[in-house]
Formats: sequence, structure tokens, C-alpha cells
Amino acid sequence: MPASIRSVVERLASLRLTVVLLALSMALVIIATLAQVHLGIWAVQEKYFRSFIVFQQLGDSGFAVPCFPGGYLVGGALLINLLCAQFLRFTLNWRNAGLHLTHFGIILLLVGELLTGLLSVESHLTLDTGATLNYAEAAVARELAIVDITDTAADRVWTVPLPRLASHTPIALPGCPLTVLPVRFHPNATLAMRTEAPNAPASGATLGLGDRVVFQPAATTYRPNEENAPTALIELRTAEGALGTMLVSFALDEPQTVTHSGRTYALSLRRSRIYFDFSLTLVEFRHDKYPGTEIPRNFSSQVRLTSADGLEKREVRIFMNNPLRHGGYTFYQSGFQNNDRTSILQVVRNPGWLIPYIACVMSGLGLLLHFGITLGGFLSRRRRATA
Amino acid sequence: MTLPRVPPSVGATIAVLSLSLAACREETVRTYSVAKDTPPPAAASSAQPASGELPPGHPPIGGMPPATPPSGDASTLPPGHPPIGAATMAGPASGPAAAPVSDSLTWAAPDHWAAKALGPMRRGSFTPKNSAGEADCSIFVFPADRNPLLDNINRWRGQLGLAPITAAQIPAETATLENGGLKFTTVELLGQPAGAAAPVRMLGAVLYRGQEAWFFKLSGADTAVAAEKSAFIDFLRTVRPATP
Repeated sequence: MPASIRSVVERLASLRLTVVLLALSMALVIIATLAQVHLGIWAVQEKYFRSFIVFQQLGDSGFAVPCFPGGYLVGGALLINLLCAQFLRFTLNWRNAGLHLTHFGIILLLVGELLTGLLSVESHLTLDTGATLNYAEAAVARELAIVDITDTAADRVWTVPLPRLASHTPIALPGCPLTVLPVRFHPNATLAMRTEAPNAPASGATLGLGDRVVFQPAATTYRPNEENAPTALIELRTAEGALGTMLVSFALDEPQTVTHSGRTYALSLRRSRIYFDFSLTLVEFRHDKYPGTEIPRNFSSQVRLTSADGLEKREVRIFMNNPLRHGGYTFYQSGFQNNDRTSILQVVRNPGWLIPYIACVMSGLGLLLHFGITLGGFLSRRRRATA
Repeated sequence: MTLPRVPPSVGATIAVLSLSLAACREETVRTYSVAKDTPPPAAASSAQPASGELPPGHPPIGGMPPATPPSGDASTLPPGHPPIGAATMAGPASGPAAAPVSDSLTWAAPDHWAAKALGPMRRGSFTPKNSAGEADCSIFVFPADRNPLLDNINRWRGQLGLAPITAAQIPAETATLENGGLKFTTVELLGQPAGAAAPVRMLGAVLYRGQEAWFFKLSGADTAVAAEKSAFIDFLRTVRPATP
């Protein structure tokens, strides 16, 4: 290895760097924990842990400055540090097998968190008793859905992730004659009927509800019992020209429609949907209480799982610590509403869910092995000394 | 036994590739077909309907949608039950947005003004009552850059069936009320909206404060509002910044 490259690698493998990075990790965890008071867990995860740099807004100026390394940067640097140290400092021999195993366990843990951050999806399935659904709705993510509802058998759906609406660049919909041009976007807004707020400025919408609904930008909320109502004004264009503008908002419960070339499209800003290749029917929700008290003892959902082809049909009971795992998804009993007639299941898809378990087992075994080898060496040296 | 050594560059490459993956977030348009799960809403024309009503079946609009589902009835979960309600947390905000207006003013309404429920956009809402009848007092705040004074005066005039004025007529048609550092532009209008049986009087005050435009409006039957004029002026004098 050339001396210059070796010098760089040695610096990257430095134990001092390891200590600094571990200290930064701890500081990041403390800062992010404190920030949860104002931001809530989702925003904190995105801002502090699933970012390279933590940016901080300067007052109300809208100007953000970098203020701390983010989780990806600290974790990534730790990964590089560990890999460089592993390959530079430790000779691959059986005496160091325990250390190797421990280090690979930690490396696996870091990579596992990266994969979880990138690939895991958390959503919720809200089922009324007797109802059947084949999709869950994302916990945080929202999407603009453009649904061609012309055909009677099935709908053709185009979904646009929310961040695209903030980009102000035209969004082409493959196979659809419509193009969406975001005009304005607000992460949160309050809506009212024009009749309730006659002085409110015109929304600018000409399609759907048009100017009958007005909106007011609002501060983003992070309170656990409140939801933001992302709102956007979008222009719908076709090859022949613009159809007009439409106000879409999470605060509007029903889709708005627009007709073009004999086809009708329903537009709505909704929770992002995750479709399964199977469906779940809520057969029964139970909310058991301790006899003679109102203290809850158990929540459980009896669901019927039906595959898309109808060949697989079975009933499963989901209750605390006993989730349903099927098709790469895990369904946990999460909540209920509607006088115990509606069950809420938390749906998690995390392809890397086994990695932390494997990593911890590897690290634990590695430590045991290393201490065992060291103890064995010590005992044999002692035996030789006393012999 | 010694095993062959792996070049450190391999490890570094793996790490850098892993990190670069972190930059990849799915923000693409998805397309798929699904069976219909709800009856389609009635197709509407692409032109804006003239009516002020919502389409049949549309739930009322106003304020936030109900904070839904995932939260459930968390307070009654058994000890040790997994937390509920993460999904109702506010999601990450992204993209540019206009500066939201705030609740940066306080006021004290006269004792005989009954406070009533706030509408979705009202910051204050009162019903002044006197022997001549009832009136309606409302307080709104909107972004200043989209609410020039002339437009608002003419909007109010239009509500009373009065002809619009020009910018040159503003000084003659308005008055100024100073209250500490706050400067209100006030108007008094009397007109008869189309379809109204009796004349309607309106006392309005506009306050521009930074990026915010505040609107204080008292309107109702001519005599009922006229009787509240001094109370309205006194009310404006109680308006203060929430944080001095």
C-alpha cells in the first residue's frame, strides 16, 4: 500500500477518532431527546438521526445553518473507523477470532440501522368489525393521489409523494394525460368555507371546490394529539393546455374530480397507502376488563387473512406480544376506537428486522470467545509457572 | 493459522457505498391499478361551480380533520402495552411555505360582548348585545403581502353593496387610530347588501404588523352597530402585542 494512502487509512482507523465519534453519538442522542419536547419523535428521527448534517433555523428568517453532525454522518464515520481499524490493526488469526466476531457484530449493527432507516415502513390498518382492507396507511407520509375512476371494474392510480409538491417543478404522470405543476405548498394549513371567512384572500383554485374553500397557512404542529394538514395549490396541465388550478388538502375528506377527454380523475391528498397481496377482515375485536373493574386486561383482534387468489384463508388472533407476521409485514395490536368496534393495527415492514438480533448475538459470542481465549491463555501460563 | 489480510480500501469502499445509499429516498411517482374500494364521488365539471355549496355528501369543512385513528384510546391501554398514537404525530415538514400568521395580539372585549365559538379562521369572535339588537364582531389575521388595504376596503364595501373606491380616495374614506405602537386604519360603512331587508352598518379596522394583516370587524343592523361604535373604539384601544 502506498505510504500516502496508508497514512490516510491510519488516521481513519485512529482510536482517538473512535472516542470522538462515540462522544458525538452520545451528544446527538441527548440533544435529540431534548428536542423531542418540541418536535416529536418523527421529526426528531428525520432531523437528527436520518440526516448527514443537523440544520437549525435562525429564528423566523427561514435561513438554516448546519449546527451538528447528523446520525448518518456519525454512524457512517464510525463504520469507516471500525472497518479501517479492523483491516489495518488486527491480523486475521484464531486468537483474535473473538474480537473479529465482536467487531463484525458492531459493523452489522451499524449497517442494520442504516437499512432500517432506508427500507422500513411503518403504517396503520384501521378496520371496522366486518370490514375488509388490502392496504395500510402510512403513519407520517402523505401523498397526492390522482385516480382515474372512469372504469367500473378498477381504478388506475398515480401517487405523488408530498416532497415533490414542494418542488414547484412539473410532475409527469406516466400513462396519464395530466401533468401536475405545484403552484404553492404549505406543510400545514387551516381550511374554511368562503362563507365563513369572506375576507380571506382567494385561494386561486378554479377546479373542484374552487374558491368556495379558502385556506390559511399555519405553523407546523408537533403535538402528539394533532395532525398537520398539508395543503397545496396545483395546476393541472394537458398537452392541449392548462385545465386550471385545484386546492388539494389533507383537511378535505372527499376527493375532487376533474374530467378530461372523457375520463374522470379524482384527486385527493391522503395518507400514503401500502397495498398488500392479501386482505384482512376484522371478525371480532375484544376489549377484556378485569372482572368488576374498568381496568383493561386484554385487547385482541380476530382477523381473517385471505390471499389475493383466495386459496389461502385462515383466521388469526392478534394480541399484545403476539403479532401476525405475513408477507414481510408484521401486524401488531395498536389501538381501538368507535366503542370497541374498530381495531387499529400497527403494520411494520422492515426487511432488516433480524439484523440487530444477529449482530447482538455475534457481539455477545465474540466477547465470550475473546474472554474465554484470554482466560484459557492466562490459566495455561499460570499452570506452567506453578509446574 | 493466519488468514490473508483484506485491503483496507475494500472496507472503506463498502462503508462509502453504504453511506451513499442513505441519500437515496424514494420520491418517485407510483402507478398501479386497484379494485374500487369506495363509491366514486359524483363527477364534476372542470369549471368552477357557481354555487357556494359543497358537493353532495362532502363533509363540512372547517379547521383540522379529526385527529384520527392511530392514536386510539391510548389512555386506557393496559400497563406495558406498546405505545399508541405515533402516527398522529406531525410529520416532517418540507418545502417552502409562506410565513404562517400567529396569535401575536391580545385584547379585552367589553363586558356586554358575549364571546362565541371561534370559526376555523377567526382569532376572536363576539356578539355585542344592546337594546337595538345584536351585532357580530370578528377578528381575522392573514398574510399582509396578500392583503393590501385597498382590496380589503373594497371587499367590505362590496359586501354592503357599495361601489369600490380608488387608492386616492382612501384618506377621505378612512381614519387612523393610534394605540401605543399599533396603527389601525378604520372605516365606517353603511349599505344594503343584495337581498337584505334592512341597511347594514360595518365598523372595520385594519392593522398591519410585520407580515401580518389583522382585521377587526363589527357588523350588523344599522342601529345595533351604531350603538356599539364607542365600545368598538375602546375595544381597539385594548389591543396589545402578546409579547411586548
